[in-house]
Amino acid sequence: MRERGHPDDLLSAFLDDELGEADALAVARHVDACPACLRDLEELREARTALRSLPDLVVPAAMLDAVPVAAARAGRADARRRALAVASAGVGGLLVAAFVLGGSTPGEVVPPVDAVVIDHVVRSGGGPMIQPVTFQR
Amino acid sequence: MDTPPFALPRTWLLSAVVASATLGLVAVGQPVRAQAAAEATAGPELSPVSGYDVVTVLERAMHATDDLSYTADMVIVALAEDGPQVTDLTVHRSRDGHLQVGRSEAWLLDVDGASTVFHDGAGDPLQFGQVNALPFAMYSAIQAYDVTIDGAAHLDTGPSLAVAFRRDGRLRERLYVDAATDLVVRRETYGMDGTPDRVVALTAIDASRADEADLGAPMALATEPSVRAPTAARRHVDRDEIDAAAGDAYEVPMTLPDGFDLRAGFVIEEFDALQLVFSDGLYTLSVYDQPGRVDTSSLHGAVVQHVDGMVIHRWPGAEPERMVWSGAGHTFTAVSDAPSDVVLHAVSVLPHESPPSIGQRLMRGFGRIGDTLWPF
Repeated sequence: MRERGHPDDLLSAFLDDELGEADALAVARHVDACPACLRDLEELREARTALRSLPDLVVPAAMLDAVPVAAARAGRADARRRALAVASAGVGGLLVAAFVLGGSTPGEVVPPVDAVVIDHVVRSGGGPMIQPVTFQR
Repeated sequence: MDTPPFALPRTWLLSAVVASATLGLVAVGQPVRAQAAAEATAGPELSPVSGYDVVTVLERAMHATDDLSYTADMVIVALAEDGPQVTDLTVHRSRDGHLQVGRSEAWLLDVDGASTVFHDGAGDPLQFGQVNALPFAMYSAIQAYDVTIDGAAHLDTGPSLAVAFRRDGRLRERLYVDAATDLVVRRETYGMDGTPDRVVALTAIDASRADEADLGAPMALATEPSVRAPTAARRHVDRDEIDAAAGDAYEVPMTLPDGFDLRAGFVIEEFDALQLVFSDGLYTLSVYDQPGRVDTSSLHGAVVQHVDGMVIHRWPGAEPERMVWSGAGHTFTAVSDAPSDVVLHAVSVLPHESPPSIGQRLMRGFGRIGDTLWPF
């Protein structure tokens, strides 16, 4: 760990000549006497030089022209997907409704099941042995 | 023919102990009842016997109640898909034919020879007309089944003879005829595949013969009925009237699968129903035919089963077997003491609606939607 008193946070401004006279003088004196800060200052200077040596990028005009078109296409695709989802939900709902509504027609006869069970038992004699009714659980 | 006296092998004593323990457990609680039911349906041990004529044994059983008065405890074990259902009952029969069957003071079935009254727990009666029982047709049963004496057993009620009814080599029914009273004291019913379906057994009998004192007053409910409903109108109809009552919807068959023959027909005005009574001698199958399709929402507790293209509403475990379905614009209610698979097989030739295919159901649904949106 570096000792306290090193002007780490001032090195970048020192390189850019943004420090006041007194601060710049103090940094210069420190760097002359401190090999570690001198090394940091050199690395910082090399990195800055490397960044500045990169060529400028030029965006092709065709690409710039294509951006709003792609955006518009994406918007239309989203709209189509939304429309498709709504249509699918509608068709699905219609199929479900048709399936439900297509069930058996409700009947009107209420068979007197308990009564006919007793009627049958009484009249049939329950077979070879008396077998009275038991009702469903 | 002479009937040899009963001997009591040692194995019967063990069987009696097991049966007593089993039926005693039935009264304890539901889990124990389920175990008891399983043990009860296992059947008593049979010992070989010889010298008995099966026709004589059955004839005596048919006429056992002619001069007999008795009170008995009865247990019914019905083996449903979701487990056994056990019902305890008390039966009283006077010498004059007055029959009462009570269930733990919850209801009472009262057949006095002239009318039948069913009291529910609140004392409300349902009265039916003149009793016109279609008895066990022994000679038809002997023709329809291979009937043999299977052996002797010792039940809670004492020594008995086991009479077996087989078809195609499979055991379908076994009746136990009590040696002392000639009453049928145990009835084991098996499905078409030979699996146990139901056991009905008398577990204790207090009987007296004609030359002895009658057994006294019949049973009474805690709640007595206050009114009696009017007698249901019933009219016996011949074949032509049966066809007329069925209308053009279908032709009433003279026979059903598994040996059921049409024995009688009645018109019951109270139910607006045609009752068709079929029997193979051993089992009786009543089919109640009402015009119009069934309101399935009224079938409380029923489960829907799709069997061989039929949509059937059943009450599994309820005895006797009962099922409801629609077909040809009619509602059919079948009631029988036969096992459920036998009943299903028998009624399969009657009209029934098949469940619609998905395409048919969708088309019908679209049609109804169209009718709703454009009713003109």
